[in-house]
Amino acid sequence: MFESRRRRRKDILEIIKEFEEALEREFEEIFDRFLSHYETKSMWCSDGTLEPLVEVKEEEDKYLITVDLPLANLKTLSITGKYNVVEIRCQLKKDVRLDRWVIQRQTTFREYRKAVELPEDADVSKFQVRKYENFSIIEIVVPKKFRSLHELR
Amino acid sequence: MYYVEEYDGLTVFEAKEIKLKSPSYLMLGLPDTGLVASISASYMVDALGMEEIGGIDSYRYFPPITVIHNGEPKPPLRIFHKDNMLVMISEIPISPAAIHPIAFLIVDYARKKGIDHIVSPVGIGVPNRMNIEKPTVYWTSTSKEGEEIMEKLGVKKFQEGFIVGPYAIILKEAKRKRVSNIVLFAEAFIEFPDPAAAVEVLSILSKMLNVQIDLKPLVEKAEEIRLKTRELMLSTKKVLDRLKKGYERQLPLMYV
Repeated sequence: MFESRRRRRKDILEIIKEFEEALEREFEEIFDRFLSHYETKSMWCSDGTLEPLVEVKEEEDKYLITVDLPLANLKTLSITGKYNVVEIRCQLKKDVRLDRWVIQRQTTFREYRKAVELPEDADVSKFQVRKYENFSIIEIVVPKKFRSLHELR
Repeated sequence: MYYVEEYDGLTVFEAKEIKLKSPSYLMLGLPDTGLVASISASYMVDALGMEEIGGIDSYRYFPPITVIHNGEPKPPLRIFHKDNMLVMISEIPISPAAIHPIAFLIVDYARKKGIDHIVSPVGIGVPNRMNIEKPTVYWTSTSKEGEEIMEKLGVKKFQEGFIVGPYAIILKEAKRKRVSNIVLFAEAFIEFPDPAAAVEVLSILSKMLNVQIDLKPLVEKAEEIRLKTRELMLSTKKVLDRLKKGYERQLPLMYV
């Protein structure tokens, strides 16, 4: 009799524990879902480089990469294309320091750097650049590789 | 604390008593397309030397964040006051789950404060923004008084289109509750911060509110602002994508 009572008590404790675990999992899921709305990556690096805002759009025959480069000296712009990656580097017109910001207060920012990975059909060796100097924005046009009808079939 | 009110998982508070002169305005600075509202509202607070008097916080809808400014912890959404103006500025984008309760709270708060007009500066993403030197600003309003103000200023009316996000809900709720909401739509970059669009909004607001706002420093610091607001823009863009912001580029059903 005592044995059966102990088993029942154990069962109840196990049920409560399982319930607690399920509740914890549910809370973690809700929390993760909630935080996933926010972008948490930092766009500043302690080596003095900044990550620019980039937008990539796909069109029928090309990819359009728009890069926002405020305070950049566009004369120092360097773009290289290798494999399916376009790498953008550009120095700033002046050094930027944010002394009130505790995390990066000792860093001097001097350069933008960003590697943009495109799909395999991007012909990164044939890119073209348009500069919108009054906005400090550049547009990189990367054509898609020509595919013959035979390949498409 | 002078005033605290719980509102569906949100807490709005004021640290001191305020007296609003008439006609009174509540300007909103919630992150949206081109961060037009955030940049113009922050600049307005600085330019007019407005006083921080309260804020909005939520353990349910906001991430576990405390913002520290000048060594002091602040809520993610802060309220500023001067003369006949209140300005609300959010440090974080409003998540989809928070949009409805915050919109309802803002309209309700405006009613309780006896605000004459809620002013929403909204960025309206245009794909050819790089070919536009001076962004155009359009307006819509939920009240006759708002219409009269904007017509006197000679601003173009926003005729057709969709509006998505917190400002859309505030507009509908204001109309339902008969609160005047003037929405200023400025052409802006979709993916990048756009201080030039904020300049156009502020030049209209300075006439509307009859206050002098020196916009020269904003023009001069535009690139610096763009550099410093990249992360907020990225985070806002992520939220806007979830809200299907792309709807704004679609043509609504017309001629029926």
